[in-house]
Amino acid sequence: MTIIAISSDSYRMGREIGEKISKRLGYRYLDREILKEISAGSGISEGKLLKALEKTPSALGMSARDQAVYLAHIEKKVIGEFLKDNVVCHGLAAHLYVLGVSHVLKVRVLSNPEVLGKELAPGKDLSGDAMEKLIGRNENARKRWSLKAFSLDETDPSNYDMVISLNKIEINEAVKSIAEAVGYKKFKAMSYSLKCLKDEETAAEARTILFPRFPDAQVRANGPTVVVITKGMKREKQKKALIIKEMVGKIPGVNFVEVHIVNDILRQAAESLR
Amino acid sequence: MCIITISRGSYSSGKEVAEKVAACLHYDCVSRDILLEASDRYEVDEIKLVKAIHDAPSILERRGRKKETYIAYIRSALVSRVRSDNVVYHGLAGHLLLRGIPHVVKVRIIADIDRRSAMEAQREGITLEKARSAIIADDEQRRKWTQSLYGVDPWDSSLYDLVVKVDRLSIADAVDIVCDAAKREAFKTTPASQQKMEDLVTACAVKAALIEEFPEVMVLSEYGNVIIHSASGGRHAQKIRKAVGALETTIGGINSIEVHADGNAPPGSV
Amino acid sequence: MKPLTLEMIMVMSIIGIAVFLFIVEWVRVDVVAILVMVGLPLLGLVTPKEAFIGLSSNAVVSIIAVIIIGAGLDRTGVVNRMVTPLLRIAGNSASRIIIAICLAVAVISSFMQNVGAAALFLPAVQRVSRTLKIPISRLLMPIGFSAILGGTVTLVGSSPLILLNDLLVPFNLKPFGLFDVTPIGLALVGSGIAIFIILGRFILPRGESESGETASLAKSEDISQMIGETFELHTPADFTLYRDPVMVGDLRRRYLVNVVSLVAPPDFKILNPEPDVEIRSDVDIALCGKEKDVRRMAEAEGMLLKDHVEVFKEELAEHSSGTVEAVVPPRSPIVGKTINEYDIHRRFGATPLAIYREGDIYRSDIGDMALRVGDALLLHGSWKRLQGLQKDRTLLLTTPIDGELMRPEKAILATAWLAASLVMILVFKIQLSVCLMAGAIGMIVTKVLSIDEAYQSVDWRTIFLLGGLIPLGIATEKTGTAAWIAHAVLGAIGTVSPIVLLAVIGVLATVFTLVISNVGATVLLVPLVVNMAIAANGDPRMAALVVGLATSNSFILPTHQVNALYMGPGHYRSVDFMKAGTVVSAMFLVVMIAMIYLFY
Repeated sequence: MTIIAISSDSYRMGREIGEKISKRLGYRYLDREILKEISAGSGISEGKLLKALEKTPSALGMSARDQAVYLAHIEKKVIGEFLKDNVVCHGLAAHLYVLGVSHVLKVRVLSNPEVLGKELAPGKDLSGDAMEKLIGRNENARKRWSLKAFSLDETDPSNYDMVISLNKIEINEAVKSIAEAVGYKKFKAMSYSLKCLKDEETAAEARTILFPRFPDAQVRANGPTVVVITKGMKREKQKKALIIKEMVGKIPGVNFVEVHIVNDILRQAAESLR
Repeated sequence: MCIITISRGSYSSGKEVAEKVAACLHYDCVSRDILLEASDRYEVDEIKLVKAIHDAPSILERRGRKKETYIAYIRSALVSRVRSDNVVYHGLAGHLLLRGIPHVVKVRIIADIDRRSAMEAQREGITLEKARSAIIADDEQRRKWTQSLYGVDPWDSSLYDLVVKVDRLSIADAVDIVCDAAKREAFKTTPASQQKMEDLVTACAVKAALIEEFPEVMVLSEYGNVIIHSASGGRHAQKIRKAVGALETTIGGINSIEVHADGNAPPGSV
Repeated sequence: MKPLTLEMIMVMSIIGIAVFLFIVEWVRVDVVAILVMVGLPLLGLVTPKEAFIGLSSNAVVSIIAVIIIGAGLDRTGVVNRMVTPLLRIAGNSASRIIIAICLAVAVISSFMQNVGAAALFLPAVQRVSRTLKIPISRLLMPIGFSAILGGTVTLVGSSPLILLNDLLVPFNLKPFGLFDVTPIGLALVGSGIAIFIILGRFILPRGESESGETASLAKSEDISQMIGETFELHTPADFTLYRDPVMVGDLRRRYLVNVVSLVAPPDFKILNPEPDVEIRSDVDIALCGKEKDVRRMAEAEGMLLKDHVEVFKEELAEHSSGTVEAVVPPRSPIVGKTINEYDIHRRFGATPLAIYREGDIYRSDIGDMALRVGDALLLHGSWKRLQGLQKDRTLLLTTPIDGELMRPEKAILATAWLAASLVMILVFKIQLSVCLMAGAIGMIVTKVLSIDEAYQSVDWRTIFLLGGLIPLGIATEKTGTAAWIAHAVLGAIGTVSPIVLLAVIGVLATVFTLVISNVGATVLLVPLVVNMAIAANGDPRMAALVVGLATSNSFILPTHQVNALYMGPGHYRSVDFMKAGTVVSAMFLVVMIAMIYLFY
């Protein structure tokens, strides 16, 4: 079960590369098409899911809680697919939530600035300066989005195994490099890294259940054990822990739920002042 | 037929990758020896050159422009060294010093911070914590250096054609990937790109010859037609004109020299 | 002495701000004048009517008329007709030629704006220099100075003098007549020419020995040697294969050659192609360049260099196209712009080859140099296209092209109307502005030039500069500021004899005119010196006259428009002006004071 996660500054370019790799290796190709299925399974509209992948939450737009929920659904589904098959995945932020899974080859592809400029401002003939600005703004937006959603910088090269700039290297050559790299031993699925992936799936499922009520919860899974950390105050604590345990316990395969409730210092302070 | 620059942080195994790439392609491997050449050619202490290319300029140095002078020397030595092609250069700022040349493959090798600090700790015999902070400080220094001299962040991956993280990909894998890329059509030296290289050699040599006296000059060469742009107005231009008279004979490849003193420096000048 | 009032302080601060803006030039001088024009009534220092009285003043109307008459003389080629007989009289002696041209320019300049007269003579002077092999630097400066000095011969010769009578109105002093200044003016012109004839070899730049290697190149070599000759080449059949397309601009940057025509397949000839035109395989191209560069290119690009121009023989023949030198005149819209910004290539269909500036030639990357007044551009194009350039007047062609826009048949009419105005002034004693305007409209009615051409020739900068500063003069007088400063200055320097006072005023006016414009200096100083003269028991009219004349004493720096115009073609540097200018300025002051002392 080999997995290649592609991230790109241009969706179109990433898709082209992803499809080519999947064809070359005979892997399954996964991209935003799958949002339909997720939408059907979760009852969340496809548009909202897409928005969660693209937009940073803001006061007027989507709330941070909604985004967290939507992303948890996407994560759950995508990891589920990863567990089934050899997959090339693009455009679903997989590189951000499977960072700790060692057999996933994480690649970032940077498109040629001119091509990217045309894609970002279709129909406009921008000067070099204006283009550079536009691209810079786009990159900053992606950076903000990824930091907000996953506390990781999508543009930081150290989060990838390989970064290829298509400025001079052609698409087919990049495809070849990636296809070859995935053949290296390190990217074969091992029992340990498979377990990591499964844990990640469980955690994602727990998130989909918890986030609507407790958007600040942090969830980790380790085999049948799920650890949830959340904030709470005095009396609340007990009740919260019980509810969480009940909610997460319903997930098949989970037999122990541990809830840590951290003192919500800010709220406490705010309430004591009342 | 190309030039490969490998940029690396300390303990990122960049050197090993570079040496192996050179061996595999039968290219020359060049690094610090550039500094020796620069120090010979321009009669400057090598230590000063090392400092210039490694440390970020302090506030005092920023005013004195001493650092730019040394870097111009290093750049001139580097470009004339790699001019003949088939070279792997690993070391500082190669991708920036060789900007604008199409047949340069710009590679960055990165490694996990934990792995790097472990190596440093082992080699220097210090604690892991100390090693880690030393590496972070070193990275920061590099960041400031490129930021202050070129206005870009060395970690910005769009500066490179290829970034490889040596962690799960082994050194041998990285070598494979780099060698593979170097064989690509896009990086083949063409007569046009070689001409660009020659012009860069000329422009850098002229700049290195002038920079001590006229730190503000920008130099562009196109097919041997050299334009020297001085930002400090007409009176200075007269002095520069006098100074360049001798250059035409000492620096090869010059067809004509003109000194311009108004407007902006032409794009692509060094 | 009257106490200092708030109004006086306000006037003084406006003067201070105006002078400051004149010097730093954050905004153009005429804009400063308009700011003053609206600022004064807003502060209640003059009435709204007084604020705009300048625009209807005698001076402004006269200037408009003088400019139109000058344009009429220019269009009909009166000047060119004068030059040929002049040269015949002068023969081959350099000194005599200088005297003849200087006198002619002085005469013309006394009825025209100085810079207009200077511009008219520039082509003729260059031709003389080339045919008689006299260095242009020896000719231009005397002629330029004569044009400035000629402005002092009549009361309409220069803006400060035209302005003078208007500034005297508030004092109820008798206005000057048209030729009241002529004796002094003639003496100034005479001594100016004499100085150049006698001391010329010491004060004029010599060329070779002084100004370094590049500059001497520019001076001694002819155009053809500087930019090379015309060559024809044939591109190889595989020229465009396996490479990026080569454009006209690429060849220019790489080999310093200028493609002046090329064949676009199948056989369409393009003349003066723009930089982004691609050069194809197996075609003929013709270009301008030094032989060394052309050979280098032919070798590197594998082109065949032909022995003679064949394909473009007709297009490049001397009667159909050629190279001209065009100077950037003052007030041209192109000043401060680059060749690329102004799109000279596309606009005029001419290929820019090189720029001269202060003795240096620029051949590479000239498209991005911001042009300055006095820069000389070398342009190649067909005569037909270059005529368009000549007509446009953005650039001043120093090699005139004969074309239909000249109206030589009207030359007599133009001269007649000038004479008619003069007769009206001298014989019938009608007011200056009325006479000149009559002459101007006469020219228009008799079709010497059309009314639109007349409107276009008027320089609105000068009009508003004058019109805007006149109310400042009124305010200085009305509020008593002028009297106050005059008393203060006189109190400081004590009693002096009238002649010393005039000399001081002369020096003061000279310094002012070098720093701020001559009109500005006149407006500020006249009310002041009239008050001073009255207080010191001198003749206030003479004091005003000294100011009016001395504001033409602008030779030391190339700030005067005439000097700026001649700087490029003459390959002068500022130092050259300082050297010759100091001598002439000193002479100017001595002669002027002496003449006033002797005659009035």
